Amino acid sequence: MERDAEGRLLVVADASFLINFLAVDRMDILGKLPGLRFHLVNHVRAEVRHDDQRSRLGAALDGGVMTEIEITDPAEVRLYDEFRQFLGDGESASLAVAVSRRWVIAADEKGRFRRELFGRLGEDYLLNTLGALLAAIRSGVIIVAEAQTLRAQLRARRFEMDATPFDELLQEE
Amino acid sequence: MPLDREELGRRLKKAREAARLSQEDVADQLGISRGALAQFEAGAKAPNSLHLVRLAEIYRRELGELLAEEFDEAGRDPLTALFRADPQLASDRERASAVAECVKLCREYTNLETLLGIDQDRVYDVNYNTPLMRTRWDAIRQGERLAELERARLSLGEDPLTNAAELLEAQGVRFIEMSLSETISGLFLSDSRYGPSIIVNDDHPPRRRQFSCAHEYCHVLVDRDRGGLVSRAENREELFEVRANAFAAAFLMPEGGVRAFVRRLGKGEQSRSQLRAYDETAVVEGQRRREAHSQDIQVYDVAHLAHHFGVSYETALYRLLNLKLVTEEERAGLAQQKEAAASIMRFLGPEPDTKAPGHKPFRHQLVLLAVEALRREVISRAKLKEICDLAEVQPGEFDALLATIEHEPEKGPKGRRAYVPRA
Repeated sequence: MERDAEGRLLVVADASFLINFLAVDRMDILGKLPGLRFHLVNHVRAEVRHDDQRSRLGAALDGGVMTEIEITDPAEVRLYDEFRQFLGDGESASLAVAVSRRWVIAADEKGRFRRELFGRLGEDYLLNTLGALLAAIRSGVIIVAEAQTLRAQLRARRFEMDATPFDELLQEE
Repeated sequence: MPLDREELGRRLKKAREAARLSQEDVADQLGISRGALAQFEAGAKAPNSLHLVRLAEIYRRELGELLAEEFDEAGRDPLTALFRADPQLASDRERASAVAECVKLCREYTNLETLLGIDQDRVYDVNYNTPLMRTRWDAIRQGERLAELERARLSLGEDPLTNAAELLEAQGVRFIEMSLSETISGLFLSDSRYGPSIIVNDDHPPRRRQFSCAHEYCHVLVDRDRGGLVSRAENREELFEVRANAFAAAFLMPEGGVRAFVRRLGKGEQSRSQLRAYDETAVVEGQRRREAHSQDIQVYDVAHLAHHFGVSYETALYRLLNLKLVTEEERAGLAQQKEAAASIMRFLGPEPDTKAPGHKPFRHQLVLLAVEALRREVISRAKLKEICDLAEVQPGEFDALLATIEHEPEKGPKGRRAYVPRA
């Protein structure tokens, strides 16, 4: 797994993950998670279409919560092209970055996407929304009650999310 | 040899030149300065993946082609060849880009068939050995013969085709209707990436579209080595167009079916007929004289025939002429009664128009194939969304489609609920 000069794991975020934090207007959580440095590929930025979410993303980028990156290495572009036969554009770009640079990928898509990721990098390279909320509780960025409220907000937006109480999840991990 | 920035730049330049586009044109379409494009081509600056996707689209290349180990400078995309052969269509930017969008649908369809392991391009198993055509006579005979053989192969008998488009789709042909310029009746493309694809001008009336559909089908059957063709009124004297027209007429109006229809009208016989009975030693003759002009085919007969087979009045007339059921003089006389024919055809019933608002059968087929691909987890939800956007599925319809999918149990071991990276 690749790290930056400060020892933080490098993470590339797909839209399926990013949009959850944009929807509840809590991009600050991602900036405060210790040990992780978030990035997004320009393809994913293009997939954020709601005006309010676009402006929140712009603010997060301006505030240094995450950094926008591009794919220019031909080998990485080739990988992206291979993925886009069966994945969406943004997730193909994000997965190409994760696989070729050995970065963590933040995503909530299951099915074919997850199979491809696990087959190429293994499940240790995945961060999902529930995992990010748990990491935020553990590091004191948010409290359990806050996490519960956020989860309820996301479920109200038809985002499928496990309903196990956070206390129980914290013990499992 | 790994592809470096300089080599990629060289390829981009070659691809642009092969597409006969200036740096200004391309920079405009890409929304960057001409200088920035020049830097990409010189290898001074690397284009990013978004630039490359767009450049591939503009140059009508696959992205993979630009990045492959071996680069084909001329490019072999049949759509590019088609636009090159028909600069008039290529210069109509709006329509050319609509055609390119349709081709994208075909490309996605082929991709999904591959991912789902579906037998592809069934029509490609059919091979008719067609000798070189030297004259229009050859072309017409060949077209008619091909129609007979294809009808027999498909066990169609002598009946009218109720829906030529459906028949083609069953053969693995992608069939799309869209607005094309008035002089274009349709076009076809044939390539392993797109599959056999037919686009018909939906500004034309239904009977003409039915004819165009059969015409393009002939091209798919015997002209597929050409990669693609635009069928324009101006090209009607080209031998392969003559053959396709003869095929369409005979495919839609099979000889046996036309003769039986005319017989049912009590026509099509000579005014004086003779029959002979031979008993191994001598012959006995029988004669029948019909009332004068009783066998003459009238405007209402032709209109009825055209309506029955779902073709235009003019097509029916030429078919009768080729089958020697009318003379050229009679055909010319009947052709002048077009107005009367139209009234009779209206009386017989409305045109068999399958085009209701929102009726997009190929797009629907593509979307349902993509839904199946998601259900079987060979594509992701985001990929399904992209295909639905391409097929102009409305957001509400997309949600309804998603709701119908019952995922198969997840493949592989049951996963965790929360994923946190473990370094």
